[in-house]
Amino acid sequence: MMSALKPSLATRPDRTNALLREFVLSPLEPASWRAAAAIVLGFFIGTISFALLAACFSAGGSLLIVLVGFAIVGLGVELCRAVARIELWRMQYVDPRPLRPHTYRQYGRGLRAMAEAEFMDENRWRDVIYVLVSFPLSILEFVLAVVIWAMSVGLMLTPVIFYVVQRALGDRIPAQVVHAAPFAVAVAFVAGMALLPVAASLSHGLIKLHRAVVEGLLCANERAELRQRVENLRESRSAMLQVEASELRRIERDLHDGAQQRLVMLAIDLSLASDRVDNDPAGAKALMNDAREQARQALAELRELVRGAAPAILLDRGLVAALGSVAGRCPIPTVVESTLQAGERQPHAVERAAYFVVAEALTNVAKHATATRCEVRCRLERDRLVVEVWDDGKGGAAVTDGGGLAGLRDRVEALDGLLRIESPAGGPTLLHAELPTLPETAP
Amino acid sequence: MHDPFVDRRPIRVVIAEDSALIREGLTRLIEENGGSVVAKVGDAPSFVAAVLEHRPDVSVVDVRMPPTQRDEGLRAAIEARRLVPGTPVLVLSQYVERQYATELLAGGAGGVGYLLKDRVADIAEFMDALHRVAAGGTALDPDVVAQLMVLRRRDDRLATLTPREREVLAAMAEGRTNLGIAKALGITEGATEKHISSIFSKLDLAESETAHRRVLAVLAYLGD
Repeated sequence: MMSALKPSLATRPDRTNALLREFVLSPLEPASWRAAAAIVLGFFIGTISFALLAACFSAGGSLLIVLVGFAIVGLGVELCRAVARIELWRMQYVDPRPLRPHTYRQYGRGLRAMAEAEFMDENRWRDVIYVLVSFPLSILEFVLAVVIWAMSVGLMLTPVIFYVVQRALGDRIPAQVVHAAPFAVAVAFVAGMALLPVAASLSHGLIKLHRAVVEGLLCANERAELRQRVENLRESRSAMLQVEASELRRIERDLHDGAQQRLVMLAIDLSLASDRVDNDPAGAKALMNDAREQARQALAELRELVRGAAPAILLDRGLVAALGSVAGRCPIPTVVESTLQAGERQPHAVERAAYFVVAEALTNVAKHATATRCEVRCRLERDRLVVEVWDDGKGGAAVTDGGGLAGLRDRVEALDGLLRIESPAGGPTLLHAELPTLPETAP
Repeated sequence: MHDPFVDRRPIRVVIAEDSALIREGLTRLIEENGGSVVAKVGDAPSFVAAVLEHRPDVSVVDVRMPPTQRDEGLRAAIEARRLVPGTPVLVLSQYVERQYATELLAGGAGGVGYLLKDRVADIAEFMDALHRVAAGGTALDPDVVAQLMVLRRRDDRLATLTPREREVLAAMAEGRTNLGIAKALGITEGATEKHISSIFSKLDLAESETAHRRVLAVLAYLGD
């Protein structure tokens, strides 16, 4: 503790000196002049944008009932978004340290999705709030800056003014005034000089204040982002555990209902056959044939179970080969279109999730969609693996709690990916899943 | 049940299978049915070495073997056929995939089999397949054929086949001879020949004599 304190005590006078120096030299600092210019500019931006916003909102608000009002209000919101961009530029013009703008919701397809992006986006409303806050703030800044700069420059011009006045009025100026004037003029000039750093520093300070407002309202908030990220991770981890648990439960149930029962039957058949083999060889043979059939079916069931839990071709040959295999088993004609390089592998968990999305989607298509054609698409978009399953069936698929699609969504979200489905009644249906290929470093 | 055109002299077999239980079971099965097992190995490199040393009439290879327990057996079979061209190999697996069949058959020259391990339980069928492969023919699992026969295009010419023709096509793709097909489907050899020429003309396939060439033609059509 002491060692940490001592140097800071020792440097204290230095720091005060440095601050003083900075203050005195502030009029020579280009940033101060840029700040002054930015304040003037900000006044116009603030008032004009507020006026336009008010016009949009009042006109749009009164027309809301005829729907066109929504478009006008939306225009106002978009105007604020444009203002936000200009303001970020204005702040970085004074202080070039970069500001990271917050992100906006993307427009989806369809009117409803567009409206949601426009009117339900928190960050778009933050832009609107900024315009409302910035209006009085920029006026205040402008007034303060103008007053102090005007005082400073005005006082510094006193000698000139006095000289002009003296030339104009000549002898009509009372003698005592002429006598006192040089001193007064000098005092005024010095006061003006002294006000110069005050004006420069004030401009700088006001822009700093404004920058803080911009950072608070228009920039990406790292803490909020981190909090959101932790929340997402917590959810995805619990989804992952959920997926794993239900998978194990399914395997246990399938084993219990299928292969285990068959093996019990097989054991019974075999012991009956061995009892009978001496007295009734024909009966024993029939039982043995039954036993062989039980064994065959048990093997077939185990094979299906293993394929469902850990498809071997996925491990051996990767995603594209496995998708080809699963598409080949689908009773509906299915083509696989992939832009992935042959032999290009992704992390196993990602390949596995993509495989199950496609396998489950194709099972659904075969079961419910009454489709005649189906397409599986697979591609890499930067560091995301995108798989899509399209069919020309009757549509109307939705994610319902506890349904197969919900299980898929859990699986995808467990890897920080996203899954969405577009399935209007009457079709076609498109299932779209994106998976980050570097799950541990994904944003 | 047995196809009289297939060579029936005792065959010399190499078995590559990492599970001792299955290895012994296969040995017993083959030796009780007139074959002789010349080598039993449990991993891929010693399988290739055994083929080089013994030049067997046919090898029986499991797909999964140490060290990675993936598709070593398949790769080893392809490697063995590269080193000893045409050495017949019957690959067994707990699961069958169309792609693996295509890879195995890509070397050409016949003498290739790819069956589900379960098929071993039907001894007559299995020995039949083993002899067929040893004689340079083909034995493709019905499961693989079923994967191939799935309609993949809407205007698929497969759809123009009658149900009986589809059955004949499937049996043909498995690698059966005309007599084998006739027996399996319970029809006469003459009827089989008629079905086959109808299939070939409907699918625009070149007619050919040997069963193996026929399999390749059918695969080329089905596997595109």
